Amino acid sequence: MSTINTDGKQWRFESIDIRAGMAIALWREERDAEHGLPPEHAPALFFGPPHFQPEPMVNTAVALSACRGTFEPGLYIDEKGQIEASFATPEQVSEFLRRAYVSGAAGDGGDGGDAGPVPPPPEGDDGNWEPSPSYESRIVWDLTTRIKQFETAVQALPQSSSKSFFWGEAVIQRQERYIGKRAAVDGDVSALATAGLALIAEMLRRMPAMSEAKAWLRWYDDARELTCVLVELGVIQLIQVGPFRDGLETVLRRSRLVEIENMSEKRRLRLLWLILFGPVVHGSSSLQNLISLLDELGDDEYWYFSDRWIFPAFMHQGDPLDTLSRLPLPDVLHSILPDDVRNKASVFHLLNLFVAEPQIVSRDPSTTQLALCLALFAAACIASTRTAVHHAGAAQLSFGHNDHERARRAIEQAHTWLIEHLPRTAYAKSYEAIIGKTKLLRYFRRA
Amino acid sequence: MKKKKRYEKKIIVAPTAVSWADRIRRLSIRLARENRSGAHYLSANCDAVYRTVDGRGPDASEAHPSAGARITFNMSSVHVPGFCEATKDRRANAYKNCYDLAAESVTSGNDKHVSARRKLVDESLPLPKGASVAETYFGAVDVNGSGVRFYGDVCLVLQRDYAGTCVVLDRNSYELVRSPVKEQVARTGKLKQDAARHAIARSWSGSWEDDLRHIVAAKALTTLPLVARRWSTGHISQAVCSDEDYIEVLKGGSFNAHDLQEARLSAHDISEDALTAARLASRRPVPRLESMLWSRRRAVAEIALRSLGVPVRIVGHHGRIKT
Repeated sequence: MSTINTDGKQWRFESIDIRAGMAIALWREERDAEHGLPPEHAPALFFGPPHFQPEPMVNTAVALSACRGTFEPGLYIDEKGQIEASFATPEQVSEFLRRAYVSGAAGDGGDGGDAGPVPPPPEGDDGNWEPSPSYESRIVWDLTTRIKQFETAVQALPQSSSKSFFWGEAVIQRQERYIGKRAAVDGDVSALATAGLALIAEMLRRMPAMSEAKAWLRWYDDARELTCVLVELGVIQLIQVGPFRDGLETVLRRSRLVEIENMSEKRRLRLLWLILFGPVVHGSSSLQNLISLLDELGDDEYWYFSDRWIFPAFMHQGDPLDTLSRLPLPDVLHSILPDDVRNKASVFHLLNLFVAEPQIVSRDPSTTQLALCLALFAAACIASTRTAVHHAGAAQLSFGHNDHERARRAIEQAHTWLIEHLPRTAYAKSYEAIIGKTKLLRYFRRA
Repeated sequence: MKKKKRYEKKIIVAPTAVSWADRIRRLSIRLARENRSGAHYLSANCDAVYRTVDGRGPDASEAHPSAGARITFNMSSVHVPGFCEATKDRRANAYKNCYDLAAESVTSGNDKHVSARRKLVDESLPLPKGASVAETYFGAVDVNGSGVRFYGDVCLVLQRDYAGTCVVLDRNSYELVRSPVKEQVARTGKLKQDAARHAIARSWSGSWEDDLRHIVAAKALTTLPLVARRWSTGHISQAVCSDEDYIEVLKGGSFNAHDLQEARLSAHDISEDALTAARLASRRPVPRLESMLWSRRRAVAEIALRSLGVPVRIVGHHGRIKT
């Protein structure tokens, strides 16, 4: 634990644009009430994204002048603006700014610039799928426990103090298992499937009428992007023919495809299945093409929910953050995001929020498990899926003893990635509150 | 007995009566005396500076519409979508200074008061008659670089039309309260300090129209090596704005995206983006979230700017526009 040095000097911000993650800090004593000039020869460091590596500066006039624009002349941890934020080491400054920068991304789109996922239906809820909690996942359980420890550490820290925090050892990836270290188990893999199913449910809830060509195309592209991710993470098998098959059937049964009349539920389910997982269709006659295909395939069970379907042969995924920003966040988690991004809330927002302030997901215990599953899914999307165009193979799914290997590797990589990014330092309450408030900052607010 | 002459403190302030053109003449004579080998190149190099600032080619008499010195404002890519939204909302003051941001409560808002140090500098600024600091927007001069990176990764470049009436300072105005000027002012005695600061600020200032080319020439003559070789556009760009050192512009009134000639990104930042993308493709190693966010936010900023018709260019490290 670090506390204030005896001579009163600490790293304090001379100017800071916290949302941009940029700041100039000086090694100096606390300012006087008049906000006078900083000492002439105080060491000065510039911090900025993406590495937040301190860079020495000579001319502090640059720091002072920065406050003519988006920088603020200092950072205060009390409402009255009397107690300055202070840090014992440049590393603590760097970590504080890193977390604030990532927290800010949980509010991206609040003042424009991000279209977000397809919007929810205007008429409200039509029956969400309720995910079953993944208590059997050791990773989820471990993260839940450590979030509580993190929260306790934050509450116990005196003002202006900080403490290193350890998020545990990552589960060991396959090649290291021989030495007997812990590896992901089936329960861990089910955390990805839980998230995948919740995302399918949310995506289907937002499906527009096929007659709205523009909205339909946008939705269809995003839905197929989700399918690509599910295939890449090896989750698709679990959902289609594995233990989550019933969950998928429930999701499909509850979804709507209102404009198709006189269609039996059996055919409706198969059509939905084809839309999500069948061959990619283009053009205005998409629906007709799929219905024709449905007729050709017939009602036999041999293709539907079976291991005999062939996925699209070529897959392409762009920037994983772009993909995540197109995956809609289930409604039940919207309350942890700023008001002005709720209409475009995506898994991208959740991931940034979780990395910057993991304690926030434990505020509503009923949604903690789902939030953690989705955060792991998002991390897996970054750590495991590839961005280049590649051949996905003729995915004739036949299950053997290595069924879950791809998903197992994905969850292991996701856990490792998350541990690397979760807060390395717990700060006192007032500092954590500043990090949390960064997501609310905007350059422009519409009247 | 002869009375001992009392020592009088000298106010060491540069005379303001001397025009920037005269200062260049004097500086050239002095430098030519000190460095005879480079002397005959002085006038040719000064002419190159004037042409670069004006945006004229070596043999052209007319300025190229997109070349020459411009007012630039750097801001983080995080804020660019908001700036563009404000433009779409038909806000004339889409770009905000600290007074606008505090008034609109969009910053963290725990330090809204004008600090003593800012007041000290503001009161010394040679603003045009009737102008207020709250309506002044502080930019930097750049020829074809990407501005002052400490203020943000996106460099907004104003069209030339907006420069004419601006006041230009040959350095950051906050240097009035830093060494060695601070000590220089302190030696004048408490009552005369405000006047001294004001006089110094005036001695640093000029108008964009009449003085900028001379201010840039003075900066180039004192920062670039005086050798028997011609300076290049890259050399001159570096002299105008380099690292922590820049020429400040006091622009009256705000602007929006429609007033921009272009936005510039630095080649260094773009190389970071390329590294992030290359590592993402193979996942060896998986890039850090902050790197991906940084690239993504710049991409989002570029989309927002281009949707309003603002070209976005990448600038090489020698200050030349590459794409």
